[in-house]
Amino acid sequence: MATLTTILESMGKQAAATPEALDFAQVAGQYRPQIFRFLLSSLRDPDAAETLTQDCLLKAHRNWSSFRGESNVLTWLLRIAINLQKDEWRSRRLQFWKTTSRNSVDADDVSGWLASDESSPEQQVVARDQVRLVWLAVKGLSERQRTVFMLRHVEEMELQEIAVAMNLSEGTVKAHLSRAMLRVRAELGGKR
Amino acid sequence: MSFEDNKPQSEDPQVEAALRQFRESIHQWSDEEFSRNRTLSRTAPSSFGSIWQRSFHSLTRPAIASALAGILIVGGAAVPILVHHERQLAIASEARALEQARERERIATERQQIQNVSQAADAVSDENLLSHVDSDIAQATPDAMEPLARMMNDPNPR
Repeated sequence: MATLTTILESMGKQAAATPEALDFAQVAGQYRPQIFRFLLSSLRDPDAAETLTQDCLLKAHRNWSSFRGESNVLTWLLRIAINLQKDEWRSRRLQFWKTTSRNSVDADDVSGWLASDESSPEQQVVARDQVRLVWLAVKGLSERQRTVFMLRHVEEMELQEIAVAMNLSEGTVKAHLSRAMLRVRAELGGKR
Repeated sequence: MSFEDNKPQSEDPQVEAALRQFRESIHQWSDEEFSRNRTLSRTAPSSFGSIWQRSFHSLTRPAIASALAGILIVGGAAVPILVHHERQLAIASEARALEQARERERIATERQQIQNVSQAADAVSDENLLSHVDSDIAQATPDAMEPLARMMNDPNPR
């Protein structure tokens, strides 16, 4: 799967084209996996992530004509996804990240997914434990800190792009990211 | 500027490794779930299981579930009432048919009786009529017809 950086570079080449010239179906097909991944990592619920991805693309399609191309398409789509995720988070506030909700996958199960490049069983165990500890740290983050952390370290977005997507100043994004990293380091340092 | 250039220089390598593992783990999971969702959505309409699942999901939707519950309640109350009503109609229909049969039998009996009486009366009136005619014939000849009558009665006319 293409990384976000390459996609953003390819979008940079398309910047000269007007938004109207871009075919929405093509855009939706291109960015759907990224939107789904962000929502999945934020919600840990594949069904909810799939539903919100569809909602996001539907909303984007309705407002496609009003997209002026001031930000890149993915940032714009992620902004919609973040707002949808906020609504979902509010509706599930009581149980979200506190207990395993009906469809949410537990952090221990999620940590079972590992890249195949870990050769030895020892490395796999260590890697799995590290992933589990990061998930534990993420569970303790606030909504904004978690979103900033996911966009930065999972989606590999620039701070400026995160600021645009979340409608925050770059300084605020830095502050949220800094607090999130403090917690992650503490979790990794304390359990190592 | 790429993501790698933006990283803090003082980041612990082990933290970096953990974050890399975390990122790759989520990518793996997302890829798996994404492909699974797309496969399911394509094969869903043709399989029996999915039809059952869709039926189950539709049952679990609150609006449909409440509507079905309403139909069941109304149906549950309406069916016995309808059955009772049908039974009452059948009983009434049977009673009506029985009553009509009795009425027909009674009318037939009355007609038979009337016919018998009529025949008896006819027989009586015939006899009366014959005797009346005989008596009329046996009456005395009027004075003007007396000579003619004597001639008819005379065994040796002149």
